[in-house]
Amino acid sequence: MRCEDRKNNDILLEVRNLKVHIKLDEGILKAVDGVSFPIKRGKTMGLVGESGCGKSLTSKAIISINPDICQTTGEVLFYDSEKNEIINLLELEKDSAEIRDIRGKKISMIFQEPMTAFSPLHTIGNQIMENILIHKMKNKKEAKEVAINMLKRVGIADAEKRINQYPHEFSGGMRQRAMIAMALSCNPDLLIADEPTTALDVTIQAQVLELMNQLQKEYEMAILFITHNLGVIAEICDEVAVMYLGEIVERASVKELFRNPRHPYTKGLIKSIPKMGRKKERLYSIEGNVPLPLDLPPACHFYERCEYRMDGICNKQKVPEIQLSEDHMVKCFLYNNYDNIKQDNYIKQETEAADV
Amino acid sequence: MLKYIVRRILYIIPTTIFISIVIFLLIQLPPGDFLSVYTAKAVQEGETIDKQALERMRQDYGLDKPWYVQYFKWISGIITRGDFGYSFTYKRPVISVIKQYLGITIMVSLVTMLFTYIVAIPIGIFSAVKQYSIGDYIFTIIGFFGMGTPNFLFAIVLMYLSFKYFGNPMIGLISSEYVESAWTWAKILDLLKHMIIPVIVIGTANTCGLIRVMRGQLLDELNKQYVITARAKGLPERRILFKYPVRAAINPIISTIGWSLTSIFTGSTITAIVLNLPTQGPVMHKALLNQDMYLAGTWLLLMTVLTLLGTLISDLLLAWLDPRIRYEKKGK
Amino acid sequence: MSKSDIILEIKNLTKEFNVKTKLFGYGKTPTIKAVSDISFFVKRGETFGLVGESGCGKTTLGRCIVRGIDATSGQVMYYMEDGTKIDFLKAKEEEYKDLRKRIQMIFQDPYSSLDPRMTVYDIISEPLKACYKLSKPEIDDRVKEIGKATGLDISYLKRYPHAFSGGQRQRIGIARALITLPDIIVCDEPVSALDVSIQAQIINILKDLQAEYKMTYIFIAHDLSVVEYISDRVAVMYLGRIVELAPTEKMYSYPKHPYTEALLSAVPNPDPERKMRRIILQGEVPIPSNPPAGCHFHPRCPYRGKECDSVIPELYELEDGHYVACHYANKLRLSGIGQVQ
Ligand SMILES: Nc1ncnc2c1ncn2[C@@H]1O[C@H](COP(=O)(O)OP(=O)(O)OP(=O)(O)O)[C@@H](O)[C@H]1O
Ligand SMILES: Nc1ncnc2c1ncn2[C@@H]1O[C@H](COP(=O)(O)OP(=O)(O)OP(=O)(O)O)[C@@H](O)[C@H]1O
Ligand SMILES: [Mg+2]
Ligand SMILES: [Mg+2]
Repeated sequence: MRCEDRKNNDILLEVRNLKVHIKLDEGILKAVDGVSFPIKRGKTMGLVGESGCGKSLTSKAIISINPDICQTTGEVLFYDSEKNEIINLLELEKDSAEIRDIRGKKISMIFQEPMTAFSPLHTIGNQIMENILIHKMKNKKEAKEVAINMLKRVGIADAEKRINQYPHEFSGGMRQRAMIAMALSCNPDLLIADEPTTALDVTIQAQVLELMNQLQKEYEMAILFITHNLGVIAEICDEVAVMYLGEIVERASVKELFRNPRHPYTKGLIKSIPKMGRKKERLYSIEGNVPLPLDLPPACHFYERCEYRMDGICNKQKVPEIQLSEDHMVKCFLYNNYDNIKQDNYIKQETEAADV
Repeated sequence: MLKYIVRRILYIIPTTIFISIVIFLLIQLPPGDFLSVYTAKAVQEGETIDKQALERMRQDYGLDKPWYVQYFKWISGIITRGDFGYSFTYKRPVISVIKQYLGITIMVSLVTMLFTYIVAIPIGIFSAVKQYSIGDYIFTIIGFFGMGTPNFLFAIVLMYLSFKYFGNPMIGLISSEYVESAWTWAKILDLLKHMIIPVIVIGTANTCGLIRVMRGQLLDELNKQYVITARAKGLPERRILFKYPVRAAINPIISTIGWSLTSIFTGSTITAIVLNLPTQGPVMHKALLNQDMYLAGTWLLLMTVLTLLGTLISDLLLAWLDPRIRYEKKGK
Repeated sequence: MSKSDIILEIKNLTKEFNVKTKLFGYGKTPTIKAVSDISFFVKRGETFGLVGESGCGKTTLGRCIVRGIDATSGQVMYYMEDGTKIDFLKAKEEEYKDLRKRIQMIFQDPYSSLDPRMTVYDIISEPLKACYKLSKPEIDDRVKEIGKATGLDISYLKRYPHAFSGGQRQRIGIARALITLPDIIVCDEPVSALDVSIQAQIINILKDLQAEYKMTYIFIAHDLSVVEYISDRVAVMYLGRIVELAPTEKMYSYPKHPYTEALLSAVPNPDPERKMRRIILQGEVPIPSNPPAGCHFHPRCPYRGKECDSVIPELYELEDGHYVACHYANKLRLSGIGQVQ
């Protein structure tokens, strides 16, 4: 596929109607069900959602590294700047040379669990150099130099010595930084970060986030940042997609999302985090629990927990995606026509008045 | 690390002494001694025996003294003169009996072990990577069959088949025409031919177990996060498989080599008797029946030292293979 | 403040772990001082927050207080309503049984703290059966009442824990702790393992229950915003010691210890338009088996002075009710939250 108009466009990767279905004995688990979003060059896209909503499967589907039981359909369009063409990554064979050339080189990934993401039997250096050796250069000595420099860049002191150590000799924060060093060693265009700070302490989390911010500026790469922490999203993302049970229910720029959340779920999420330095009123909480995404009907999955649910509409029909403005999409019947947006603004003012 | 090894070797000495005492006591336990068994047998068979010679021996080995005197005599003989005592069943010094059988035993054991690992590990890997494929099922069924069949039965079946199709049941390890001859290519070939059945018989039971272990270990490892990390780096599947999960899955298996060596040594006695193998199993069996105490004692002592060494080798292998353990052992 | 306000007083509590190595292991066994000479008091009916990074000894302190593990030394004084006090750690049979009812704990991990072979009913009623002699209908009533209060469906009680989600499990844990109607509950990170939407439900339940049953909470967490929301007073721990203790608002607006300041600034703020100055601490959290000399925090402290690496600072009352352990506490001007920079 070749699109001339894409070249001056700043979209690096576009996920279209991505579905990951898993066949289980109990039925089909629609873990990711029709997800679409673009990632802009050099920008950070955040993906938030509760545990089990399909964030990891979405991110791993992009570079086709989900296990075989996952049936993946849809399109992942990646603009390859070297070849100047657009490739649908899902069309490539799972273990083909083409996709392997993209993994680790143009799109690299860091994972949630810094403790288990490295093999305990090989040195950190070996595992970082491996990435460099497959994609960048053949000379081991040079690769080692690159690896040492990368480790220094991510703030690991004594990198020359550290490179020969094993993962268990590193603390959690250091492993995560080594992971980042590995992911960035080939200057990828896109970094997928699957909850890179969830397992870390706040002060170490701050270190890692700061580092990612710096490196992003330096290398001009795009980041897909996955987390369930809205605070982290607010800190580092440019755009956000909110996921609920395998679907993206709202997508907007960060400022817009935090200022004007539209979807009842997003609103609930934002309201339910205790905010520091504010007056302590009763915390808002979303009723009920996240259901298991087994055999869900093609209606709104949030229906049961929603305050604004409309019987006969929300639980019966397929929910449309509504583009409220150029950078704000919401998937909710409340905004089926423009009047409701005004009404929503009214609701918002009303609740704020009640808060004060 | 070196300090660790030396220390471990030093631990072997007191352990061996302790175990040798226990062994000696146990062999002493049944009433009578080998001389009385020997005399009774000889009388039964109508042989004449040299009463004087017997009496001399009784004194030499202090058989009329308490057990600790006998033990001390035996041990000091071993330490000062390398004399392990005299075997009555074979009518020659223990050391010469052992020399005759030890080499062949070790050879059968090693070949068997090699066979086990060479067959089991690739099949285990295949079964794990192609989990629930037809091949996996076939190997699983064969595996359970192999584990379920008693070894001696399997040996008899193979002997029968060999006799039926090749006209030779392949009993023993060396054909009668070669027993006295020097080592020639023909003799070696003959030996190898004879080793096929014992190796398969003794090997399969372990092989089948090992396939299951390897498969299980590898399945565990294949789902680990670091495999996904490696995949995300763009490594080809085959390289990922052998560099990471296989290496991790093989570790615990390799590290048990030391122990399995002794178990193959001792575990195959019945098979060896059925197949009439000139290995240590039958010899030991005979020695125990006849209260041939020095022969039995020496064999057991040898086993002990081998077990201890095997354990040490296992531990060292494990430490060498797994950096996490290596680190601990270094004591920081 | 009068003594009758106090319900619990912890005095010089220390807990050391001797990490056992193998039989033929080497060298000296390192001693981990997980909790090191900690003293503070808790007022009746308040929520006392305890924050700090992973491994700083929060859980250990909590478990020493409920006598889940034996402290190495120190006292946990419990003040009865009539003013008499008992050292819980040295309490004998009868007293111990009585106090056991009054002090309960909710555990950190809702997934592993419930016995998978017991039904929810058995789990919740177990402490009741252990502490009181009650008839079956009485127990039934109590379980149902508490079940309702914690938002558990009565029809769920005969099921086993694996059939529940994390949030529901945490409610079961809360119900178990509440069933004896204790005066004090040590809540060890009750919401850390939960999703945001469920977290808010649990926090609300805890607050409602406190209002209804007039309980005192010792609330352990590493999430500073949760602690701020729920606590009246907060203590910050670093490597087994309390480095600062103050009423919540004071602590969050005017921290006196550099570590507290760094912690506060490191919390990601869910408001993209109110960015704070971020203090990035250099270095790692040190290991408690080999803590730095002097002030444990000094290697990471941006304000360290010359005595910091040799003299251990004592916790002292800098202002009314504001305790801090730092040599420079009265000289530094540190920024808390809400100060946009
Ligand atoms: N290999 C698998 N087999 C069966 N179900 C799976 C598998 N992997 C994921 N799932 C299911 O798919 C759903 C989405 O999983 P995913 O890992 O993407 O969640 P997530 O949003 O990343 O959650 P978390 O925040 O906990 O990491 C979950 O319900 C999960 O149970
Ligand atoms: N049973 C034990 N044996 C040895 N060391 C222990 C034991 N329990 C805890 N420790 C050590 O004591 C220190 C404090 O542990 P503790 O569990 O109290 O920390 P924490 O503040 O609750 O951390 P987290 O936030 O991770 O729960 C840690 O370094 C830990 O390794
Ligand atoms: Mg995930
Ligand atoms: Mg804890």
